[in-house]
Amino acid sequence: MQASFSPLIGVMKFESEPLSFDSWNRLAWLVIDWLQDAGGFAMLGLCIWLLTSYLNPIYDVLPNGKKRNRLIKPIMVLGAAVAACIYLIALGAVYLSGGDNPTTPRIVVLEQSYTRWGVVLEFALAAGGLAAIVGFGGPFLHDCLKMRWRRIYALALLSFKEAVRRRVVWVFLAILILYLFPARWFFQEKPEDEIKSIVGVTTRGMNVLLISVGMLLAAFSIPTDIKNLTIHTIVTKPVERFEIVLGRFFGYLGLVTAALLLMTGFGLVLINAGNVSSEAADESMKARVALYGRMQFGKIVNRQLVSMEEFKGVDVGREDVYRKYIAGHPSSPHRAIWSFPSVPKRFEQMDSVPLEFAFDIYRTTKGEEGTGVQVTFEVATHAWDPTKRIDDPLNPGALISMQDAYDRDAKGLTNVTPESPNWPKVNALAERYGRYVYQNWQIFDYHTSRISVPGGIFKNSAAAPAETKPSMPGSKSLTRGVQVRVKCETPSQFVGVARYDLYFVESEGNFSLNYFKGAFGVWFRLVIALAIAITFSTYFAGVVSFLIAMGLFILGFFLDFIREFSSGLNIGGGPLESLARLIKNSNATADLDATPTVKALQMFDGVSRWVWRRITTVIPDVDRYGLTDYVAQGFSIGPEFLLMNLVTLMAYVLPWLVAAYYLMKAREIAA
Amino acid sequence: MPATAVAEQPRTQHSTGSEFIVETRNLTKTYKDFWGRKKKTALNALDLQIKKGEIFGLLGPNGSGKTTTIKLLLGLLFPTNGEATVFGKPAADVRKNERIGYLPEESYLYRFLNAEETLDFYGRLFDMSREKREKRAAELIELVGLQQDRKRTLREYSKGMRQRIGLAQALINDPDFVILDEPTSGLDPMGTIWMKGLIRQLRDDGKTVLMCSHRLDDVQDVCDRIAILYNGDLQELGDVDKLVEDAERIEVRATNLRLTPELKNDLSDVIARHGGTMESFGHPTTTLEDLFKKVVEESKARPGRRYLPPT
Repeated sequence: MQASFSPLIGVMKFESEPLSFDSWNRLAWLVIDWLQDAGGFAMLGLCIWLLTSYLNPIYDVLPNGKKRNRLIKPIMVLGAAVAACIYLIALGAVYLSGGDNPTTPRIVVLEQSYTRWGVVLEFALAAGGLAAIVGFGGPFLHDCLKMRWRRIYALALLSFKEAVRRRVVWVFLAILILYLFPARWFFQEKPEDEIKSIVGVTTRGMNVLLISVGMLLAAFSIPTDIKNLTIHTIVTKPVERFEIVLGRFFGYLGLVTAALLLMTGFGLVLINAGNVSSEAADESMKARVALYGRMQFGKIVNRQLVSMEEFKGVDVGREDVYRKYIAGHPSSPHRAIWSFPSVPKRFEQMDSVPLEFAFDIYRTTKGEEGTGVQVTFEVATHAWDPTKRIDDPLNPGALISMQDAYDRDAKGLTNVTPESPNWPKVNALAERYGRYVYQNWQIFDYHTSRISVPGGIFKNSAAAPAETKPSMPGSKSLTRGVQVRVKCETPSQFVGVARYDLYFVESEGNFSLNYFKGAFGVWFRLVIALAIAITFSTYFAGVVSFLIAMGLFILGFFLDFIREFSSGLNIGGGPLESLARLIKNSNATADLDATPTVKALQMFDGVSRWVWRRITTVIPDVDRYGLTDYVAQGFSIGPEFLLMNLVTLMAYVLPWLVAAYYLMKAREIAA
Repeated sequence: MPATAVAEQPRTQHSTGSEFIVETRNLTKTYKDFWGRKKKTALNALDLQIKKGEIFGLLGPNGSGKTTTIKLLLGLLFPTNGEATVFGKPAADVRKNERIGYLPEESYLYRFLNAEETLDFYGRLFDMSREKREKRAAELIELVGLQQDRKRTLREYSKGMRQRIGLAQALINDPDFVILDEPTSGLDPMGTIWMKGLIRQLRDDGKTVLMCSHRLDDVQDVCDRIAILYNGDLQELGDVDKLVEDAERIEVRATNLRLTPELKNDLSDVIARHGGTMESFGHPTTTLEDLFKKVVEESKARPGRRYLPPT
């Protein structure tokens, strides 16, 4: 999941869809991508290992007197051979798919459209990668079976004691500096943003402190052991060399985890005991479990919701294209529509269900000072069809449109809140018609607000037979569940919306627990930092290991840009083309003359893009693990989300550890 | 008084069989630079066998290949050519380390740990249970005489004390094969005597010992067999007694006699009658080590100043 945070924005902002076990096709493609990337590196590692082992063999003498190179295992040769054959097939697919054009028939595999040879290429690369991973990872797995946890624990304990007795832990007290000075002293902020600031600042402080200290310890551990020759007394014991790597890794991870827990606990005590404003507590000291829907745009034509596919919202020209806008006017046809195909059963039993939202406002006129923009919410189920003719209960035998019947019955029941004595009537009305309207709610820029939706709506929704055909306009699959349609009422103003700007609040969890869950984000990053630093330290000196690991980690924060550049999606071309533009004073968007020089530069940029595409798979996606936003914005961090992050973390860290295994194994400790 | 000829028993009697603990064939180590160019051949085609139950010494000047040989046997270095096996397993196989104890030249231990923690740590590396580790650590701390200092961190230890705890860690697994690199380094004369006694005791317990040292007297005192390396090549290999035996000369020792000119003349005549020549006649000298040991033991028994300057 990618979430980015800006103190101005009071809602979660997801650049890409959060990972979940619901989207199996997406997970399948993630696995295929991983096989392709990790497999490619495994093949590279296999080739290097086999070549160096062939040139510098270490022979074992077998009982029959024959010699065997102990560095080359049969599974390695087999894996490399199979992978090479499959990669040849992939190469053929690249050649054959070169003739594909837009008219080439496409087939859909796991919800993604490919040409026939495109599919062959994707799966051949994955299969080749798998073979290479088996060849490269086989000896690693085999040696893992020889490991003993007691030895790893001993080495971990040693690392822990070393850091403690060398008084490294005192560095962690530096976090107190952040806690000693309240964030509100330094940030001019709205009262409701106070906790967001506190959480943001302290988490960033913890990130910097823990990651840099952890990385330093990890980067210098094995090189220092080698330099001081203390490693001689370890490797001459029955210790697998990878156990040293794991021991160091777990030791320092234990240390920084303990420090993280203490810091988190201390931060929580300060927030709870501190004098936090009530607005901030209302805004952030909660752990909402949000139910998100799918979002689309639509237009009302002749009282019917239409043109969902064509209308994608208005682009108001803002650089950030995350949100699209709907135009405001009492007669505006624009609607932002959230569909909730399935809602929890318990919503039916509830008197009211909270619906929260926070939108962006784009003003084309200044409007009234201190006044927000008015928005109308219409919550409807499959049963609501304004043009449908129904029996008029007041005139037996006569027919009346559902809209007219609703308007007549809803008189005097507009904008009723659950505290009102009329709320049961509103509830009954919602249950009867499958519709609830809240008119002219005043919204402010990115301010989280909440209205109550009567539980009757959900009873109405649940009454639909399971086999009901999609009847809700604009929703292809909604047979049950509800839709929320948002309309901007204020003329000449626009309301910017995105999928995660509106949600039902399923429940509210414990803020303190959520605060601790948020620390997992820092912990995930720590695991990455330690794994990278330890891996480099098996080959390089401490300083070099630290610098490379830190550089790679910092690059992780720019991964989106690097991906954009390596895919050729950035404006202005690659580094050489950009340089040419600078020299020529050429606009970044203007086409360059296709001179031989420009073509050559673009060709080199193409090569550098290819290289960067490979490098992007090595750079850690550290933004993925930023869970602080959830805590700061008051959203619960679900166990499924944590588990998915853990899985992706393992997928990233495992190849590093395999690399560390081979580097350590190949190293002459006493050389 | 009859003169008594003293003939020491052959030392190799302690070897308990012909089983080889270590075998090297054509073992070669060439150091190369980053680009793979040859820098130095540290060890050249070494063929060596170390028998079970013997004390084997590796001798040679600095850079002769002694430590390289040990590192190759321990898997700290990989051979450029040839093979080395320990207990029949390749030197690179870590499983062989289950039965090996290694004392490096310097005691490369973690100085922030105390003696007990050090032994506990190395015990864990042998996957020993807690009870076994505690029992073994107590035994070894007593063996190396560090009971009073077992709670002090190693950074507070003297070099000799670190060498003792280093030896204790080498013996934590009760190894069958002990490799000692300069075992008497940093030890005072009494410590050296103690160490040599311990090495002999290890042999008497059926263990095999490989040691290398610059102190030739130490090697001569304890080793059954030695190999002399020079510039990476094996120059000499065999039993210490046979190698140091001077077949050209005969030594006779006797007690209860006084040095008189008559005795000297008589002995000279006997030697001349058998075709030999007397080279020296007088009291044999003891070793400095024996003198030191005697002085220290007497000083312990009777504290106080012993030496009086001549008046």
